[in-house]
Amino acid sequence: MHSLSRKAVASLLPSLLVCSSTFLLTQPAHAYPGGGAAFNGRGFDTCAAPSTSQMQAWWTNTPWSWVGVYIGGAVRGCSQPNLTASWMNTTYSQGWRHTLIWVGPQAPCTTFSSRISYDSATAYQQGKDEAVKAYNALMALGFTNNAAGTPVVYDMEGYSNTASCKAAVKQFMQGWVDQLAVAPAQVSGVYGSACNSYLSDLATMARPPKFVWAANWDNNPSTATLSCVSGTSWASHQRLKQYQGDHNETYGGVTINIDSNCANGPLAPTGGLNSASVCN
Amino acid sequence: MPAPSSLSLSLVALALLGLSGAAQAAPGVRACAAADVRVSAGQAGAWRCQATQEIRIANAGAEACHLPGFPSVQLQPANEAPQTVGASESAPELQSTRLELAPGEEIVVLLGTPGSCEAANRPERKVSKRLQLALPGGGLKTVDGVHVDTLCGRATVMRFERVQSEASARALAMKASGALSQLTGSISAPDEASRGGLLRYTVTLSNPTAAPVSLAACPSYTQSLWAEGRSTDATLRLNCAAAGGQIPANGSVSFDMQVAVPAGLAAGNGKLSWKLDGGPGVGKMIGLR
Repeated sequence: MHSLSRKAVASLLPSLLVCSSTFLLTQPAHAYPGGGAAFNGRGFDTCAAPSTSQMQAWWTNTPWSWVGVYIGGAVRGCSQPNLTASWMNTTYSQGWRHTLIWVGPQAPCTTFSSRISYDSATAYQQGKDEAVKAYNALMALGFTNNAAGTPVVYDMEGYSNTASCKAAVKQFMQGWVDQLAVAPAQVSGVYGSACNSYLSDLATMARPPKFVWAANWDNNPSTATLSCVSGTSWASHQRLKQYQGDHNETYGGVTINIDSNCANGPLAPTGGLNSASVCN
Repeated sequence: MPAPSSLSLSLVALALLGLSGAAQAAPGVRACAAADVRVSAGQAGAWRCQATQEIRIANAGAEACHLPGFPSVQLQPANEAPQTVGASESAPELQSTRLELAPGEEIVVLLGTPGSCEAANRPERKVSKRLQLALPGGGLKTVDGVHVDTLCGRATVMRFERVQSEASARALAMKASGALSQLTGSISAPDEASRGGLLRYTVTLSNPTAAPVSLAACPSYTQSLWAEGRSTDATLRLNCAAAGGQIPANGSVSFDMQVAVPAGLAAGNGKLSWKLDGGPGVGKMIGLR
């Protein structure tokens, strides 16, 4: 129950005003709003979630508005000692939007320690299983409203160009998309190399991912330009682009090794379209 | 809600404090030896097209020690000769990146091998499940349970860095700023604002602890609004007297704020940031018309 006990205003400079009110509140839970919407703007991703103080330093007066977060999966590259419901809540309060990334089994023709089956039925079921695990991870991170409408990206790293491998990946991704579509539905996405993850193949699936996040390190932030992906695929605020990889940047004295990204597509938990964005 | 009463408050502009960079090894800190550290296999995964394997090195001793670069790593495949792990072409500097570990601190070494190649279409793999580290201060450490597949190419070191632990960051903040570091914040602001106009918003500071947090020192805060490379910034003191000088245990205090939106800021998405010195920061995307 909120009860107002006091309120005062301090009039300061013409441009600044501070006033205060005291409330008694119940403790806020570590709740992150479920949902998502299309956003235009720059974001970064890094292997392990930085501390919240580092995230604060990277929020103030920087180009970055969203961050890619590896929420789980058998082959997530880095341990995530900082990633908790509290971290999600704190960085959301700082102003950040998020892209949630799941890194499960990879193409069967790779050397990753967990791989998709070449058997199509098994691959499809594996995709569904990973979607369930990703949903459970969202719940553990405190997403409200059963994470309905929350965009979630499957990280499918590049693989060699063989028909059997590509077929297995398509089956797997269909399972991922179909399971996430089950109520309370999330918004299914896929991350991968614009060319070497054969994203164009996924556009031809019976029920394709709702959006794509393409690694295309051409230093061009425009999501309209994706190598190996048709301009007509995922063309309605359905694209994220990783346009620069593996480099250090420093803000507020904090250096992080990042990939640079642009969004013209869905982020959690809210959007914000900007027709003048360099990301369009 | 009762009408607010006005009162004046002097402002103190404070210089923004930069966060400290990476710690430098103090002179005389000795090189880490095998007896100083605990080494374990971390996550085996996929990142930047590489099959990755973490090695985590924690200082288990009572004194600080340092590594003058990533330690020598040798893969020990079951049926082949040992293979030395080199520096990644994209990060050769890691060979000479000096890191100091205080007691309890941890460093991660991330190994990577190419994740795909023509040979990977066949079922055979070249997996090492054991590796050995040579510490610069002397001694070897054997790590079992790793997964490093060199079928598509040699292993290299992709990352070598100190683990930025939230827990240790919070402990440092508590030491530096006391109870203010335990506060949490939230912001209520409109989705849009007009350039050349005034943006009014509210910041709420909450105290999740069982003891009141004093605001008697009237901490400063910094607010900024950024759009496309330009920003407006101000560092001011919190009106703590009006708040009663404290935030009660399990309670909250809200502060009404305003900032003039420069007409010269670019239209589109702007970033509002508010940060209490030694305490939480809050922010929001604001559509600038």
